[in-house]
Amino acid sequence: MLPDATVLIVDDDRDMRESLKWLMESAGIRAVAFESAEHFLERPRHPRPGCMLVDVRMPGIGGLQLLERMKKDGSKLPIILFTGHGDIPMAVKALKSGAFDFIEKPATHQQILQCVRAALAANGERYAQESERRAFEGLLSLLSEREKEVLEHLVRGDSNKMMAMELGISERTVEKHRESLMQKMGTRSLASLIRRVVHHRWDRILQQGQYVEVPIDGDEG
Amino acid sequence: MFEHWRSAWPRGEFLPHGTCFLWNKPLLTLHVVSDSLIAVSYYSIPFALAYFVVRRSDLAYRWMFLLFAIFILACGTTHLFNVWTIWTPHYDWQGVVKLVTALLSTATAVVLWRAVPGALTLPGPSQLARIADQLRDEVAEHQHAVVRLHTEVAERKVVEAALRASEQRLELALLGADLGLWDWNIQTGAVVFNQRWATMLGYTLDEILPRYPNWVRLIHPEDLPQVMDRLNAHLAGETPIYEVEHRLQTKDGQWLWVLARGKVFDRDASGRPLRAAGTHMDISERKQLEDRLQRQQDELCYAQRLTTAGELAATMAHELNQPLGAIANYAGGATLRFRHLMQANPDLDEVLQTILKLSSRAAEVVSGIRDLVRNRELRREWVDVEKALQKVVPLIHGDVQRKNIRFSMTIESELPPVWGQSIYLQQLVLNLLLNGMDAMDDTARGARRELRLWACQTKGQIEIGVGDTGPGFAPEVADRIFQPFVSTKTDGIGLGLSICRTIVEAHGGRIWADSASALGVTWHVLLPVATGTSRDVA
Repeated sequence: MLPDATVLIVDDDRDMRESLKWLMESAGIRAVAFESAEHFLERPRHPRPGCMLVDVRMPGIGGLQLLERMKKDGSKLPIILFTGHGDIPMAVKALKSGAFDFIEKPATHQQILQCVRAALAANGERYAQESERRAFEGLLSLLSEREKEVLEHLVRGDSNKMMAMELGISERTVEKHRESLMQKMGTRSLASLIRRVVHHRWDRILQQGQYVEVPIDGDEG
Repeated sequence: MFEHWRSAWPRGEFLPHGTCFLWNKPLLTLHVVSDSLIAVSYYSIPFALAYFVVRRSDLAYRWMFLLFAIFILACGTTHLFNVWTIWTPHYDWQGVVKLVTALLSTATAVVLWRAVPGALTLPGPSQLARIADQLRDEVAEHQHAVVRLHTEVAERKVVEAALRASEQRLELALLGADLGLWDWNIQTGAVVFNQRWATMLGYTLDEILPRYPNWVRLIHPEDLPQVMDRLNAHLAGETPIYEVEHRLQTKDGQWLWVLARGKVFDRDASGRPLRAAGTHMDISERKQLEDRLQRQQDELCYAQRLTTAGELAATMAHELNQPLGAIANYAGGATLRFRHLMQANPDLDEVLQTILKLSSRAAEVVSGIRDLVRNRELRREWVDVEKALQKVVPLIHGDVQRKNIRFSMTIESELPPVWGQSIYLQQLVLNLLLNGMDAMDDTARGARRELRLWACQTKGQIEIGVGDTGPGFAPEVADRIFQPFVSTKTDGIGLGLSICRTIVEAHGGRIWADSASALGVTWHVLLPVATGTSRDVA
């Protein structure tokens, strides 16, 4: 979980809003509260959104609507919906629309915190993954064309000899490229490099002929 | 004695009569010529008479003429004998002829004298002419009269035809309107009924005695006082028309609801009613419909009350949950935030834990109420929106008329069904319509009062809308208007719209109000639908 990840609270009831904020802060989690979905949408983008706590039952744009809108805009931020007691259809709808989780009112503070922490963790992990990807791609961009080709072959499991034949260069040149790219990628273990490539599906990215920009949460939320 | 006469009878010893004249030639000539002429005349006259009589068959006293003819003939014969006896002394035959003539003339005289009075009465020619003229005049008059009669007859036929046509038209109109007719002669108490009046009650016309007491006898005892009141009021001239709904007993003992209407048409100089006439209309069907409508309204009222109770509980639950939740959040947060304090003060810790427990218990109580209410929800089914809306419209019909509101309804055909409960949807729409009508209560008399209801399919959902031309509400209120206990009406609890929202949400839909441009309020309800159309609903 990111250290200053912030919970974005949206609830039209003042008491709920403020008590939730107080609770979050008591647990050491940053929180910002909004009195309506409209207010939330109008505000400038938050620097470190961690997750959202939204009440379904609000006048104007309701909780579910806000959820749908966020998802439509491509947000990956985890959104927790507060539903009414026993409102199963609403809960189902919330999950189907892409909510991270739902909490039935009334809930204990422990339940709320548990859910929020899970959301923040999930978000943090995703964020970390995105960061890692970015970093990885950054490193990749440092490789020359030849080096990229060699890496590709390495991932495929070709031996140096085969690579030399395929690429029409000497084995010695292949060796040199290997060394160079390993250094640039900052790793000593080929196995871990290959693992990372596969993990990030770099080969697929390469096959598409271009890098795919994957936005990280800092830009939206 | 006869022998005496026979023996005394003359035997031609006499002297011819010329002897008496001493055979004086001039004297003889005088007598002979005269007697001959007389004889000739006396012989021709009868033939003339006879000819006349024969030719004029219509002659009165014909026989008298013949008598005359014979008598004159006889006379002629005597004169002939006068001439004969001048030379031939056949006085016996002359005497006989004379006797015959005497008898004949005597008879004729007697008969004539007896006939004179009678004959005098016979009209003379001038009299006859006058009579003829009179007759001619009379005949002319008669002819005129006949012509006039013919004209009158023709006119009468026309009038009769018109009367028949008019009667027929009346009968047809009564038949078409299925009305019974009564025509009451108030003085005599006699009433004329028509066929339908009787058949309405299961009788034939001849089974009904055409008298007023008969009619009164058939009225339901509970309705009788009111009927008599209305009737007497009208007879006294207090009301312009007699009109009352009441029950009449049919032949088989059932009660039939009729609408009786009529008027007094004739009053005498002092204003007393003489004659009244009117109709009976069978309104049993209408009464049945009224009953059904009343029952429907009762049902809806009941559901409303149920929902209100449910809504009250749900609203309370929601309202309570908020502060309870906040309490739990604050208390829970405190146990985290003030950990150190609580470690130092176990009482504080205990107290906070108690607070948490109690608020949790309170929340459970609230949930329990909610569950209790939720269990009383009616089953769900496929609802035909068009049918549901059409059930609601008659309920506001009376108010719409009374409040001079122009109401229009547009429902798209073949709307797909909604999964829910028809009676709740009806209640939803009814609430919105009533709200709309109430909003227009304060609209000025002449201003536009319009209430619109529509239902259509948009983007795979059903939209139901209600629009009014009332004062609308300010945008600040718009957010709060669905909250329970919020009302712009002075005597409103403010649950109506809250109930609406509950119903809409229970159906998985959305409701919002549009009060742009201050032209009243438009309520929008969006409901999710199934695929297919209402036709697929069993």
